[in-house]
Amino acid sequence: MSNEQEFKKSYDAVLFAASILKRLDGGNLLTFEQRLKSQKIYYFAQVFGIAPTYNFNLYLRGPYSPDLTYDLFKLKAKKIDVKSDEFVAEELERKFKSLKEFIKGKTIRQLEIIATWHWLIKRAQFSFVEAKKKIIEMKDAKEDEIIFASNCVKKLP
Amino acid sequence: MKSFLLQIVLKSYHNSMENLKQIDEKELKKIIEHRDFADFVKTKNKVILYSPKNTKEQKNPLLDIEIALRKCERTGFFKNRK
Repeated sequence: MSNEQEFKKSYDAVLFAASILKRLDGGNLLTFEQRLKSQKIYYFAQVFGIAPTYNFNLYLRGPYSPDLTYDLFKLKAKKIDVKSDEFVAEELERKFKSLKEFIKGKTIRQLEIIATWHWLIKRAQFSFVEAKKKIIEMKDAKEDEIIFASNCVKKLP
Repeated sequence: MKSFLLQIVLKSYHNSMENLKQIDEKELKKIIEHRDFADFVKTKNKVILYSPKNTKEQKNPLLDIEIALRKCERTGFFKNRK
């Protein structure tokens, strides 16, 4: 079977996705926490418009893409050396740096809450009140966490 | 397993978000490995859970170019042109 047929995305799109994660210190799949972190970083990479689109659903631990997990595991099984080259296009590299700055210093819990908030507000188009109710229900989010997430989402592209 | 997943999908579709909370981490991980099972959107004033279909892919020409360039490099296209 050729590489193209084994993945959910084209082989080169998967290599590209893995490369972005590698540059952001993500893409490790060994533990649940590492996979979770990779998912959230990738979610934001899509929000910044620098990563191939994977469909993200909302689960208890925030937005999650089974297809992304599938492709990353497939790539790992093939033991392919993923490169960490800079983007050719300056605009993409500039966005990448903004993304790197955005995730810098944030804990997995913070990334989870921000991604969940973003998903609720931007994708499901919940009102602030509805999103707040839902995120408290789902993640037992505290008031300060919600305010922080809301402010972070406002800064996103 | 398939029938169990189907039950979850239907239950999620007809009921509410609370159903998701009833699934523990272990069960959730089993489900995630196998398929997309729930997503939710707002239709009019009612929030429902559903299995996503025909999700439109975001188009970004710059990304397509970036991927194409990398493919050319990977497959040796540029070297062969020299």
